Amino acid sequence: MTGSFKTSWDAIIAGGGLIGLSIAYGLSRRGLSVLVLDEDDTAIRAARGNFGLVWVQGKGAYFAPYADWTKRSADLWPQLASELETSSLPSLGLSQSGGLAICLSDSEMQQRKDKLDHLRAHQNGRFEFEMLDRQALAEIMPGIGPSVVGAAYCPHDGHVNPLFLMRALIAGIERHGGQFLAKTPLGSVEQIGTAMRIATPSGVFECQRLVLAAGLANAKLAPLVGLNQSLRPQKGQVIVTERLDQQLRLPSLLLRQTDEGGLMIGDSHEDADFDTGVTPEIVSGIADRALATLPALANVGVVRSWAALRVMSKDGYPIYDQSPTMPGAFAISCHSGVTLSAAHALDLAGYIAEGHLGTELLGFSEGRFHV
Amino acid sequence: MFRQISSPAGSALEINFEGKAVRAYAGETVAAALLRHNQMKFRNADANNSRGPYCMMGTCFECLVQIDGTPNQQACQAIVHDGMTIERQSAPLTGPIIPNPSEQGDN
Amino acid sequence: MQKRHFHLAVIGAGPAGLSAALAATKAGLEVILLDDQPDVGGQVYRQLTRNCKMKQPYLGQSYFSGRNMVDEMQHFSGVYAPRTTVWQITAERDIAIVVDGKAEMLSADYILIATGAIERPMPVTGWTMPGVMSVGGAQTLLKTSALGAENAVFVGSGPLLYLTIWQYLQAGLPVRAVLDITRPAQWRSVIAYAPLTLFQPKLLISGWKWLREIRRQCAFIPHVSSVDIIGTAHATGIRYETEHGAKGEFTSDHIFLHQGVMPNINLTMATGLHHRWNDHAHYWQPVVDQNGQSSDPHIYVAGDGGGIGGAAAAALAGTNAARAIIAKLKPETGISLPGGLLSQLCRWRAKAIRPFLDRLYLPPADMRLPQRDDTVVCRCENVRKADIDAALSNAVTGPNQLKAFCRAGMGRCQGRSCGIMVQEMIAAHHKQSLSQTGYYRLRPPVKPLTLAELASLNGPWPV
Repeated sequence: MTGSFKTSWDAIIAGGGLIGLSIAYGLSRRGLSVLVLDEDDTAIRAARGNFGLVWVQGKGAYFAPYADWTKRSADLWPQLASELETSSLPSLGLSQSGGLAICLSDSEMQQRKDKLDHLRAHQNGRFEFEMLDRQALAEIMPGIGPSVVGAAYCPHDGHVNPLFLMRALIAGIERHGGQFLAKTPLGSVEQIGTAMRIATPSGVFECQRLVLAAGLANAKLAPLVGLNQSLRPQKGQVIVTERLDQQLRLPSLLLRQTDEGGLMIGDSHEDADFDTGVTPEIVSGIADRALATLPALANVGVVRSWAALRVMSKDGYPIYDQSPTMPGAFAISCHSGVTLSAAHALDLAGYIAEGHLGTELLGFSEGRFHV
Repeated sequence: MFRQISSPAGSALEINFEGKAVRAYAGETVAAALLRHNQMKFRNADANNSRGPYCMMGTCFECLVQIDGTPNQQACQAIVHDGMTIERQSAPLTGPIIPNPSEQGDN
Repeated sequence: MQKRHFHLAVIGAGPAGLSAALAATKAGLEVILLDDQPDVGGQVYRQLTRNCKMKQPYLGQSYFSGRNMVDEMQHFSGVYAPRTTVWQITAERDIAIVVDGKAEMLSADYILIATGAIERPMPVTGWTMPGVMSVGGAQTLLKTSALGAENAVFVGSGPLLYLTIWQYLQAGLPVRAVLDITRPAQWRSVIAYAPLTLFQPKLLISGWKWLREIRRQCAFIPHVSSVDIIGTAHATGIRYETEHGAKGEFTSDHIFLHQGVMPNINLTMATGLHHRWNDHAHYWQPVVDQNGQSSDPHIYVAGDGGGIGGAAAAALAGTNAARAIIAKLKPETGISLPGGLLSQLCRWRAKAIRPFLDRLYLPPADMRLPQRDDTVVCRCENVRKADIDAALSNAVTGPNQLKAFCRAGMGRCQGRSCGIMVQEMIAAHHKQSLSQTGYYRLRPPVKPLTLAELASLNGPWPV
């Protein structure tokens, strides 16, 4: 780096995905100077491979703090969207009019209902849902196939364009004076007084706050700040169709129409290490389920498919940790970067700026696995 | 205007473009038949944004038309057959592909 | 899932694929020849069998020279699969195809990818309007349907451009004008390569002949440095400016553009083979050894899809790749590779002139790249230069990030029309090399297929 690039920052964020960008934006809008370190254009990026759901139903059914945090984020989303949207950027396409989990068998319906009943029970009226039978579903979603049994409808669900969200977060960060360094992985971290000194291939930097939000790479980076995060990749495959006239009113877990008209259809849950290859048999099954859901889609063309790696902790819930040895350092991992973007930007960033993790996130430490 | 330089190889047949009868020849592509008929606009990508065939080899995906009710067919790849109906399309696809409940009986 | 299995699957039935498939079956290999067209010949010999019934002497010898190869299909003992789209090659080297609405997986010991070349884009104002086509497209219409546009304006440079105009003139078609974009600096830059032209004198003489006729019969404007196609609903004319500041305009409903060809790398890249940026020729090509073996020892590449060389070179490369595969599968045939010095020399000579042509006809940057804000760059998604410029920032260092932010490259063509331009725009913005900048990460399906076709593969829904 040349001498002219700033070396001292209020906050450095390692990771340019949705977690890192949301927190970086949140810090920058509070007046902190932020630097985002990112890898290169072709690095593994869950952020570029996700489905775009802003999803509440089912989350934290067996872990109330996660249900609370998720609902909080969904409630904050309109504020985030209105802050981020400017006339020079494409619209985020946020829609929070409810969502569906479509069931193709009675057992799917029952399993879903059980889960949501459980979720409602510990949410004291904050979580609403309704099980729709075939006829009721057909009114919202005309054209459902003969094997569709019904769906779970949740009014809190919605979706957004995740790629434009990334773009808007970056623009927001830049607007508040934040900067980016691509192709700059984190090297080493040292505590020097109250600050931390970060070494990277692009130079040495100092900061008061360091946030590790590098997705699966957090497993490797967390020890640099005296933390531990056991993460494993879980592969999910998605197909995308050509653009159609807007006709799907509500998003569902496995099928949604983007604001631009294409259908996103998923998905799978595979243990395949770091392999991001698309499997014809799997995407064929995904297509098959979509046609069982809406037979009229038969002639719609698939133009793209991909496989992305979800960042999974041991129990699938997020990890929020503050370093015991470097109190200004935090490590965050989750696989719901879209849904939680608002809470990360508007709540969590504030806690991090103040030097703590708030109260509602204390149960999310990696330490919960060592009880 | 396109001019027919030598006699076409195949026998004459009739296709239908946007409701009008068009002469075509067995073995040729839909794109060729339409261009011979001086039809160069195959679809609307947007308002004021018509598109027609460009590469003629199936790599640009500009020449998309609806053939016998099936949309997004590459006219430069599709071979004519007698009685084929071809229509322009707008992108995104015109009309709902999921049937409207008011038009349907019981689902 | 039971899959049909072959010794060799050849993808593409142009000169490279055809010659490989024929050679392989003659040696007793079980071969499937996968062709997305209804008949063999690829682009250069498209519909040759059918067209020999039409009287088309104006097409010239180069077209009909493919006759022998195409006729040999009568003796082909392998499986010929026409109208078949290959949409993926998996990591296990299975091949996903779709034909007649049904998808299927095949397996093969060896795969030869021979998917040929595509034309470079020429991003000028109005290039997406009806009436504007590539010169290759115009030539295809002439070859396959004997249709020629009257009073067309041709724009660009390169052998395909001059050949097509010459064919037009031979067919008696009036040509309104030829706007040649080759600049004096390009001639100067190829002086060192000039001796290579002596190895392909026939091509040199043909080129000379074509240009002489073109200059004689057409309004020929040299050193054109910018063009704008005009019209509202469709092309009605074209304005140009030359390097020396001369300006002019021609009226026409037909504008044909060409500024060179490049390997069609969509299947090879989606398959995960290693590619390199060829700085001299200014395109991506798969990394292959002298027999066409790619970074996967069971996948070979031959013909223009591995690097532009023309039809004759493609046929030799196809045969040579087949020989390499035959030697591996049937060592008892005693084939030795790389086939002796003479064979290597023949293959080299068949495209000796390429470095000269690549440099001479490499379009200048101001024709390779869009110059005006509202020029469409990504045709499929209607993304303009201004949209891409707005999305470029420090956080966007490569085409994949850019694609995510402005949709360029997300359409059906999967970057075939825009990829190379987007790459260059990013490289210029960040002042980094083209090689470093990279390309779109291409994924299956390499060509679109419908949900019904995809579902027909009969994959079970994962529990």
